[in-house]
Amino acid sequence: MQIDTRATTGGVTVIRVAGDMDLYNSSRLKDLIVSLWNKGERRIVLNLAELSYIDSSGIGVLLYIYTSGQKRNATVWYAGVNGSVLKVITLTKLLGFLPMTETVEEAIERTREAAAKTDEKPKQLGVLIDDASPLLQTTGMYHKTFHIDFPQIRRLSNLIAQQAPPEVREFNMLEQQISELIKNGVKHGNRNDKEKALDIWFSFSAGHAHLIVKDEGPGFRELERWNEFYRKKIECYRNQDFEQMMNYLAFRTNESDDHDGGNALFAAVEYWNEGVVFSNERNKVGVKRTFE
Amino acid sequence: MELDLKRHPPETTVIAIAGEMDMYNSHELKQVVADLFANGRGPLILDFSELKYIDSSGVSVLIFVFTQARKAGIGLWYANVHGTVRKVIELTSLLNFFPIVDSVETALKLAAES
Repeated sequence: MQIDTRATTGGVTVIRVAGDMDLYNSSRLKDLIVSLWNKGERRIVLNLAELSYIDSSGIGVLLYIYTSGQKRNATVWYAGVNGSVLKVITLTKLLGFLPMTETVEEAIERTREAAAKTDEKPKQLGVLIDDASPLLQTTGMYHKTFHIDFPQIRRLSNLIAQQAPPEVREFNMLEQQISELIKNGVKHGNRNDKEKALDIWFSFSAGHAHLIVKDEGPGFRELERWNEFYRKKIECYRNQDFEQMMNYLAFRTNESDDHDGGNALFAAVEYWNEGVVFSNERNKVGVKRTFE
Repeated sequence: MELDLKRHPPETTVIAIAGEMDMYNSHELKQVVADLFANGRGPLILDFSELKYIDSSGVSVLIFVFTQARKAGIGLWYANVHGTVRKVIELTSLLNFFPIVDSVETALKLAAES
């Protein structure tokens, strides 16, 4: 199975799937689409004109993409289905259920119509600056001020993550993501100065984790450059252009040292699926994740 | 974090990484691998079966190991990448990028063929 991705203007991503889609490879398509959704993409067209074979696991993935897309408010169109693939879709009684068009152009047109109707704004890729964002509103959140330096980061992260209810699975993942935010505040913001305050607000439920971290530093000056860097990296990943991607593995600034990975924020914008938003001063970051 | 080095003749090294690899200790792995690469070109396999936790500093060491191995033309495989560690690598969009294999056995087979 061969997968190629291209983005068209107006935020529609066309994915060409060619060859055989079966038990051995169909999860690749699923993984790709889930990762696109997690990056904020909401309009996908699958070009299946050159798909020559599909088995039940492939059908399962097509079905999953459709139903899961609906839950995420994301549209998916299946374009150019023909031959034996069309036969299998017909036999499995999915004809008329999966949104299909004859051509890619038609699918893009339908996607745009649907988007115009709901008047949705395409979610921006990367991190935002917006004081008015709900992610930065502290009302109803637990708040505490800390004065800590580097050695205490993980212990504090652990304590905070433990406040999440047991329904929130992947405790390690949550703790890791919290530690990255705290590390940024302590190291890059407050420069390990215990005199400086680190303010943390949080609220957890079985369905969400919401955190705000504010430091006394100069703020994330290079935010725009990071967004640019991030978008280039995502583009390389989408096109599976790993040669080019070598240039976008670690974001460096003049202040980066040997211990700075330069990759924490890449994972953060994926993990915090409701967004990563900085205040206008850029020294306060709000993040939120909702759990299914 | 605990590192356990084993030599597999003729010249493959397997490093089993256990516990938590984070901002406080990931440089230890970096040093061990840098020394290894300075002294030879034999294939390297990192075994993650007992690694429970990784953060961005750990991921950056994995990136370092990967780019160094590539530059030097050294065979490299990451085996048994699972759980939270897999998730973090996936979120950093590196899952299809790193040379990940299911087991040390598979990696040893690939190393022998290379």
